[in-house]
Amino acid sequence: MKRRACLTALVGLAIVKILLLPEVGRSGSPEAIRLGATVSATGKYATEVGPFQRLFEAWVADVNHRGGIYLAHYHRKLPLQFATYDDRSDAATARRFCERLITVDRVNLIFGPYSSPLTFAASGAAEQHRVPFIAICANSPKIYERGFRWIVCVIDAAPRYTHRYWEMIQVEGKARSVAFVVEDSLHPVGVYEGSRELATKAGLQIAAAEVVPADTADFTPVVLKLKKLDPDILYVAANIPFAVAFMKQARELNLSPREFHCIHHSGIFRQPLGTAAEYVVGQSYWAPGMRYGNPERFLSLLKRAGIDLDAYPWAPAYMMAFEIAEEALSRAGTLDPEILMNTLRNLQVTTLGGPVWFGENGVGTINAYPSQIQKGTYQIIWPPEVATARHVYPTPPWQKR
Amino acid sequence: MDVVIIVQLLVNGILLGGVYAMVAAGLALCFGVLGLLNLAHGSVLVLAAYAYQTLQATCPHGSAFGFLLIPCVFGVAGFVAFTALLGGPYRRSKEHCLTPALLITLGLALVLEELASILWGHSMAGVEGRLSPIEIGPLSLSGSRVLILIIMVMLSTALHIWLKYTDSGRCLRALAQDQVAATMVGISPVGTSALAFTIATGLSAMAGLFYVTLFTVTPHLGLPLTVKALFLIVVSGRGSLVAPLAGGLLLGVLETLVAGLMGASRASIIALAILLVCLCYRPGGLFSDGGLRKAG
Repeated sequence: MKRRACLTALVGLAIVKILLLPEVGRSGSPEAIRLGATVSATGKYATEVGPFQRLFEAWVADVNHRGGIYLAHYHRKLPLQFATYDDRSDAATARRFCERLITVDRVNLIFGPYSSPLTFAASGAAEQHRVPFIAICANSPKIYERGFRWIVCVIDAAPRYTHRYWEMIQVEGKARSVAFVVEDSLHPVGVYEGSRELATKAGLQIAAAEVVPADTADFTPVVLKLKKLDPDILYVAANIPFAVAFMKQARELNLSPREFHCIHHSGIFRQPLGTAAEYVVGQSYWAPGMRYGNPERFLSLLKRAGIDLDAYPWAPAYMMAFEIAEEALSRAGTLDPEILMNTLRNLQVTTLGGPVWFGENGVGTINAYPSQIQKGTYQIIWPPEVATARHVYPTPPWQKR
Repeated sequence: MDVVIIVQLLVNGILLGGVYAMVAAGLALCFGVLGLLNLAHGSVLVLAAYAYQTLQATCPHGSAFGFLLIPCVFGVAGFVAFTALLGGPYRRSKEHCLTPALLITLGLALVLEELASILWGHSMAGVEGRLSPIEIGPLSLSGSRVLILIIMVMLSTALHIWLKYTDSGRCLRALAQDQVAATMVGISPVGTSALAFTIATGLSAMAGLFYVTLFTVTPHLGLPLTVKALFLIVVSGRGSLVAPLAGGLLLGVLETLVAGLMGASRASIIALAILLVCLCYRPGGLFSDGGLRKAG
């Protein structure tokens, strides 16, 4: 009886040991680099990043095809293992799955979810468990004002999101006034606050600023008010569904400023608007023809994942996050979270969108370029050294689009 | 604020009311007449919107054709769904089918939502509105919304006439008043209810076509739209088909005026609060006249 009890205890101990140390092989080095992410495969952000699990998988397959990433501390290349969950575009769900990635999947590095509200929630789990966290499309200053140590972000802070646009407007000197329509949500409000300041510095008069609830369907009162004010630039700081609904109703009521600027004007923006999308100015992180990083590799990953760049314009930012992760892992040479995080914070790397490094608060340096929809294609219009077409201003009337 | 802006807001509020009434029309017929709370109403609207977008993408000049075809197809699908899923509970008695009907239509709503996600992959639907704005002096009116209001008034009138002056309409009203007595005089509860459900589903589909022309639609918008339509029906009074039109117009005007005068962020909450206060004085609904059961 005693012998049987001892045997059971030994087997139990062995099982516990296996469960506690799943990532460590017999030699004492890990078997793989474990990465995790939540993707908004369903819910309101699915329209923007729905199929991005395939992009992650295509990247992981690409790295593993080349044998993995060499980590000097273990003297060998380690393959990537990737775990992902659908956060349903919900902040609480993103946070819960981020906890799960850390405690159950025991990941070494986390890629943040899409959007500022979800990243705000999910990054708390990474900070609490001290796991490196790369935020991608999440640039609300509120995320980075908390003094978190375990987060870096690929892109620049929201207030500077459209700084190149205002620079262009100032240099051109044609526009005199601007009115803002703002979706009441973390990222658009952050972009608006910065843009208002930048517009004032560029010498523009602020004709109006309407902060509208995110779930607004009918914009007629706002459109009528703006029609009377007749600003030169109508700046719509909003996510795509909001911007599309606003633009449709602007056209319905013949609101015709000299220029529409929608901070998000790509992806599914064009299809429901048809010709109403023509000449709208917005931001693009990358356009074919830009020569930073390895565009061929990016295009091949997109192809492998079956993702259309025009439909999913955030794909370049994700690619930059992959490049940052690869470089950080390679330079750190270990999966030790402290070393990996320090490497990330001090990293300087040239990515698809240009050089990236991180500020004291973790915010990155990648910024979008102003682009205009001209004959159905996105043309970078500023700065001149990157521009692929001339800025068309003022916009032709609705009937001539 | 000058008079022109206030008039403009008022007119646009009326036009928005037409849109609300259109969204609520199918549910008003189901809930007001059949007593069936169809939770799949919004999902039908969303599915029809996606179908219309696909039709537009494949056949850009097929708008008018789509407006005829899609409501008819959805109406037939509604008939099949009612006969297959709700016929059983309805055969027993209308009073006893409330809970099963709620569960069945909720299940149907989830299935339709998932179907839209599978078929259209979570992408947002929206169709380019092609009607030019109507300019009357300093006033700008949306051509699409004017059209919706006209159609809504015509539909409400047609439904009212159908219910009041045709045999099938009378059968439906008889059924709404007393199912046992109606059955005793030879009215088929399932057949008559199926007819009403067919028309209601067709109306929901038509609302989807208009909705996607004005706004945008995602696969998960179904239940929120059902709730909005339900609110409108409860506030307006569930006994009549004209009440949702009147309620929609009132809600549209209130929302637009509040948004225009006090800011968009206060629009919904203030407009709804006003309507709720009104409900305290008329709990049967603001425009309830005793309902279809009495007058049609």
